[in-house]
Amino acid sequence: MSKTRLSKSARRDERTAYLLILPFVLAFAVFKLYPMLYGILVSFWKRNSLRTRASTDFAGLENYITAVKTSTVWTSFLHSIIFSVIYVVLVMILGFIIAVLFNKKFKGRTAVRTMFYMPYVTNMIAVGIVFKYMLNPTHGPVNALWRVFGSTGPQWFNSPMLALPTATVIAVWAALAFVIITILAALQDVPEELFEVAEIEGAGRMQRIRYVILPMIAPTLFMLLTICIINSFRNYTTIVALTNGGPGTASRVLSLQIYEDAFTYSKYGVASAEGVLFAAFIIAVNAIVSKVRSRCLERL
Amino acid sequence: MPGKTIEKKNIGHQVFTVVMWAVGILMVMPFVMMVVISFRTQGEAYDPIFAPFTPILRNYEQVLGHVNFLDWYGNTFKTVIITILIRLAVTLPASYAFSRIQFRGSRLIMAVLMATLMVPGETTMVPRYLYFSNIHLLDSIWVIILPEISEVFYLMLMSEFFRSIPEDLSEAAKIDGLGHLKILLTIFIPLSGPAIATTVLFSFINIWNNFLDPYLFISSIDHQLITPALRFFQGRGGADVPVQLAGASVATIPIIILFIFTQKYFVAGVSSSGIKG
Repeated sequence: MSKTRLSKSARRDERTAYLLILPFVLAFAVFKLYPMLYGILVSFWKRNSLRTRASTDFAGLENYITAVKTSTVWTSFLHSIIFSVIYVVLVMILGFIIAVLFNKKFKGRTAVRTMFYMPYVTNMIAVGIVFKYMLNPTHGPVNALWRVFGSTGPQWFNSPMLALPTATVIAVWAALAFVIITILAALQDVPEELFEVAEIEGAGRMQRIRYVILPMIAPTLFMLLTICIINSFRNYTTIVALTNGGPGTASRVLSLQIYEDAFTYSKYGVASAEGVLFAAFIIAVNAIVSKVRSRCLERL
Repeated sequence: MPGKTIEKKNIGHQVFTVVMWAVGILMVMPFVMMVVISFRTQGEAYDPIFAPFTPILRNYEQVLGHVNFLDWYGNTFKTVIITILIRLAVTLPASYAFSRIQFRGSRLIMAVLMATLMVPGETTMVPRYLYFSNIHLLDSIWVIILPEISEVFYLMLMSEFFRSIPEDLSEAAKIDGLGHLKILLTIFIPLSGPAIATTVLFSFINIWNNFLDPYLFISSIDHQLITPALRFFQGRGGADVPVQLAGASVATIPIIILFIFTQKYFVAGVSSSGIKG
């Protein structure tokens, strides 16, 4: 085959490839990528009232300055961080433990697995309705445990201290399946012989986890960590369904602040600036995680 | 002596089995409560879960009898079906190109696509709202469908699946003179049943459960989808607890039944997204 013919067919292949990806890429550019970039534009425009909703007057850094000078932005950011930390720690640790346990055979394992996976396919609004019923402090079935001892028990969503952690734990309950399924799949790729060798060498259960399982599935765990961190900031629905940011502003996370600034006060410019900063923060956290990942995986 | 250790191991294993079942039942307790209480009167709502009662259908009559109930279910099904069809039509060819053809810019395009996965919809709700308002997309199911058709997750899922199809198959077809489109249509798509099933299942669950987008972009009550519509049974002046729980059941049970029968594809989808994503 001559060189020119090869490159000719390669060029034809290339043209076909562009045609094949065109619909996807076009839809992506118009409905996904452009709105993201548009957010950066809006964050530099003077659009902070209903009247100036379509304004394209350049505002400089005004919106960003307003955003970082607003104290509720910082408290809601702090709430987002608290939510995220509790969520990531719990979902990763519990998911890992449960996956390791599910890797052992027992009677009815498939049925029990289904039970653990069910919350994952349930919508958060329905979850909110059920948990608000269950955690009703005066009549609810959960606080019945406390009523037996004559106490009223925790106030859950009515308590400024407990509202946010309670909502986070429910988010963990709903998301656990994702971590369990992913780790289980990774565990199934760990060669059986490794466990046998470890057993012959007299490794205990903890040692087996530390020296056999963890190094083998470390790449999966880091991948999960990244995804869980991103998901921990996708919490608007969870918070709206469970606490709506309350009591007062005790569980108001950054996404609620953005929503309110934009759709209650029509401060589209400021809200967009908050969105840009929020996205930049999430990307920065992930950059750090990927640094840590490459360093950790090198060492293994 | 060895007999004794085996016995000990057995007891340990039985305890383990019981504990796993107990925790599993605890995990699904909210669903049990949801369904049980949805058949009670308001007065019985907070009676102990195992207390005897006469089941009533009044709560379901109230939910299903809502003037807009059929609209919400209909809109949701319409959105799900149209999204799945366009999504497959767009994603299958793109996945084929990314996994089987070498072309300039493929890495760059893929990198841009993947990077956007890091940006949660929460951070871009304002510009999306303004933009969709500018292009007159608000308040129709198309404001949900159009952004959904190019989800990178499904592109990765499908590309990963296509990469697992043996190279020889497409090479043989090429020698026979088949073009890429023919190869995609006659070889790849017929082989990708499992990946298509996973896509359909995930699309169904995700769009059905989506709250943020329809809540933000759809304002008319009769254009709303089922999950955000659940809010109409809640809050000030909303219905009583058993009616709310009946609403929650109606919005949840179809998905759970679908999930129980298709778990295999569901698990395959989650694990491939986690490991290779």
